[in-house]
Amino acid sequence: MKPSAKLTAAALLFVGLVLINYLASQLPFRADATAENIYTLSPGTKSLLSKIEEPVVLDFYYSRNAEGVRIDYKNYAARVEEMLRQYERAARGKLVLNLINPEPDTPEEEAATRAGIQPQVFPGAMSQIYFGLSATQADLQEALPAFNPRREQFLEYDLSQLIYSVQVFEKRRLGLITSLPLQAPPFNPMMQQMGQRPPPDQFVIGEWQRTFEIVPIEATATELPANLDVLVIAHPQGLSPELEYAIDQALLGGTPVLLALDPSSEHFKRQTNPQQMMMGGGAPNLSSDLPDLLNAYGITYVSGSITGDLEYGAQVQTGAGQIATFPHWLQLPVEAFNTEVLPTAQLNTMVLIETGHLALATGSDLEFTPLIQTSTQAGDIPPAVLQFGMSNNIAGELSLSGQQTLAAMVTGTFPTAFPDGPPESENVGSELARAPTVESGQGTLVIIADTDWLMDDYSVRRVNLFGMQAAEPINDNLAFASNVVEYLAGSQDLISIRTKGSSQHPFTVVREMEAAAQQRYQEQLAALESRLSEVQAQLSQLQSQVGDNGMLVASPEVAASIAEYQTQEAEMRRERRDIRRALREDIDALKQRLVFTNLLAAPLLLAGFGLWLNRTRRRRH
Amino acid sequence: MQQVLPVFKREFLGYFRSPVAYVFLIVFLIAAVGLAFFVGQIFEAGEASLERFFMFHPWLFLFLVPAAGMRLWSEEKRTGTVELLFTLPITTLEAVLGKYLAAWAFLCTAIALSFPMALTVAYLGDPDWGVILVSYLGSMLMAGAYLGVCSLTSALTKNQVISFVLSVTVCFVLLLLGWSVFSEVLEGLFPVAVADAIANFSFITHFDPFTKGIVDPSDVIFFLSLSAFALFLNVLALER
Repeated sequence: MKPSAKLTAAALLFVGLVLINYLASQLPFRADATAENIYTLSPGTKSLLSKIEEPVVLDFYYSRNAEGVRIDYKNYAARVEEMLRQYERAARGKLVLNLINPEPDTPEEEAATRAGIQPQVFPGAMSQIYFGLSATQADLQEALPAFNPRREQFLEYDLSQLIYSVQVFEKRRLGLITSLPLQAPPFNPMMQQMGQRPPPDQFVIGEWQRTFEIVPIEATATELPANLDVLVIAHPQGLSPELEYAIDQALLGGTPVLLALDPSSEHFKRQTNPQQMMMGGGAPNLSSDLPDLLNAYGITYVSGSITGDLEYGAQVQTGAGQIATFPHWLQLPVEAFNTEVLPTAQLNTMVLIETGHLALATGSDLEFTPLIQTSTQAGDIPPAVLQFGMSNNIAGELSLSGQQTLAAMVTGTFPTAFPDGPPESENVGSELARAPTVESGQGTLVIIADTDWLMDDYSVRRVNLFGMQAAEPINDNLAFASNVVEYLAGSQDLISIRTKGSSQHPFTVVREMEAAAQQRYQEQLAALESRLSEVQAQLSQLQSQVGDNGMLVASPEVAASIAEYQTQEAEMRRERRDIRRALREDIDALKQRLVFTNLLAAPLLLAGFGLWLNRTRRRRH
Repeated sequence: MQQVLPVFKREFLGYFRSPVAYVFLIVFLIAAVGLAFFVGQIFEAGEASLERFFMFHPWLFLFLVPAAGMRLWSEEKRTGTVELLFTLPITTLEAVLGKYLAAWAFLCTAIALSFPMALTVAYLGDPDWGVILVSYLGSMLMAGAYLGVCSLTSALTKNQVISFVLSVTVCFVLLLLGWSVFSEVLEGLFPVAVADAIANFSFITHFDPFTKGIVDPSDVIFFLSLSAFALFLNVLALER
């Protein structure tokens, strides 16, 4: 072959290569090898799509010609587009997908802005980038303002939720009774003039607002608003007897209820002056309970004790920059959740802070389904231990009593808590008071013995994404919050999609070793900590005496005892370091072993194989 | 095509007769495991997946595949055995394919020998086996594409060192195409659609989905077509 012919052939081959790859990139399907089919449409979505009556129009806005967009973003856009095509196919004509490329200063860009798509600015990019989706059915329009590759695992849920939201003509109503600041208080316009931004709602409100209209109900109210689809009661404080009666009657009348109670609200604890608590003044709103209702239903919830768990305790960074395990802060792994019930079936991890526990009284006819449970290494911690902040001693004070239920679903025929009729009321004229008391009725109650999980501090991490505030869930707390109310209010297609694929596969072996080590060394460490704080107190007292004398030099005796205490302190600190090291010892050893085995395994195998091959060859010759 | 198998057999077994091949396998495995543990912090991450093991493969292959592939043709050219080879009743295509497949099989053996890593995460937790298997598949396909490039550069020169440097350079460019800094430069030179098409000729962009458990036909076709393209050029380079 002549060189020129070779060049021509090479050029043709190159064109062929580019063409084949271009065509391949247009293929609409791909295989999904993940165990949970993260990348495949779930039955929930398919069922949701099959229920669409009037066609839904999806406008996918993506600035595909914009410069300066990272290739991973572009690939994600391709992924979203492909997912949307799968939706289009599965909906059999009930979804109309429009791909729109909003170039700067065009009618398309105006349309994107009108649809509520949030322009994003990439560092180094020439222009703004639109990457969002709007859904329209009849005169209802909703939008996902901006896609984020970090939410890839929730992509299907977000898309299905959007499609669902434009089909609900009337938002369902969620009644909310709470003493927690879940909804931001009305903002003072004076502050706004001073350049301050109004405080946002907690994210859980946003999650609920996607499919519900939230109807706040004051604790002092005497009746519930009509037509509630679900009632959420979180950390109730000082409910009027009339309202308790109304709740009882609503539950018996079939309104599903989510009740979150807390023996110790970390949120309110943080707002309380610790000295006030030391003085026995107690903190307001720390614990919540609805004893009249729960006793009548035969549900045991102890508001006076806190459930600790040696295995599921959270790793918390303490003030000194060290990592400690807090048995009263629960980082629940997948084993803690009931996989047979929809609201918890697909949860992977939740964080609960200082929870109580629940049980059903003997003799009750209600059905009690645990949703979230501790490990078997759990038990009660006396509240006094936690109140005075002796955080190093907590595991030692825990008295093991086996697996506990932290959240449960209670169904069946509830007896009323007000067999004698409505409580005495000034508001005699109200309709509810006049209506005859329902004696018993079928109801659904989900009850959870913690409220802090609803707060942003324990559920999301705020991230600043291209100048926009976004939040990334750090666990499934929010997922649980919306799963439960959506399950209770009856939109089950969406539940089956949620949290799919945020599947984590933790090193269970390491976790168990940590729990075992923690238990082994806890007593030693606690004793040492208390001796150390004693010595430190003595030391600071002596040193302050020296300070009081102004410029005077400390007397020889005082100086000697200061020196003595300082050596003691140093000694104890060293001991503490040793214990902390011992805590990690087994785990570090395991790592060493694994690294060693992995590094050596293959070379040894190969050497053996080589020798064997060599010998057989020699024998043959 | 009948002669591909004999060439393949002879070449593949030939690898295991030379101590250099064992050294290669050991270096590859120690580097892969070492990177995963010490740079990727796979143990500290506490996640029973091999993503932190596979993420180094494109970079590891950048040096190791050219090391394995540099002698494919340059050695034959230097010693003159290439002349001898073509006096045999065998076509250039058959010879190229046989040699390529043998070297690819050798690389796949190297990759498969990292199975203790999979056993390790399975011991520590409960990994997603589908994702791990697909990652292995992706890694082997990518090694094949790298090897195609190396086979081509090796046919262009008699000198193994030049062949090595050349293939590292070409593979490095193919690796960097997906990198954001690089795509910005491209966007300055070409329209965005063309720049995107070029950026998509990147090893990393096409390897990533495999490590997440996605088998996209476009990724499989990318690696296979790139290998095929390189091998055809390889045949052209050897034809006279």
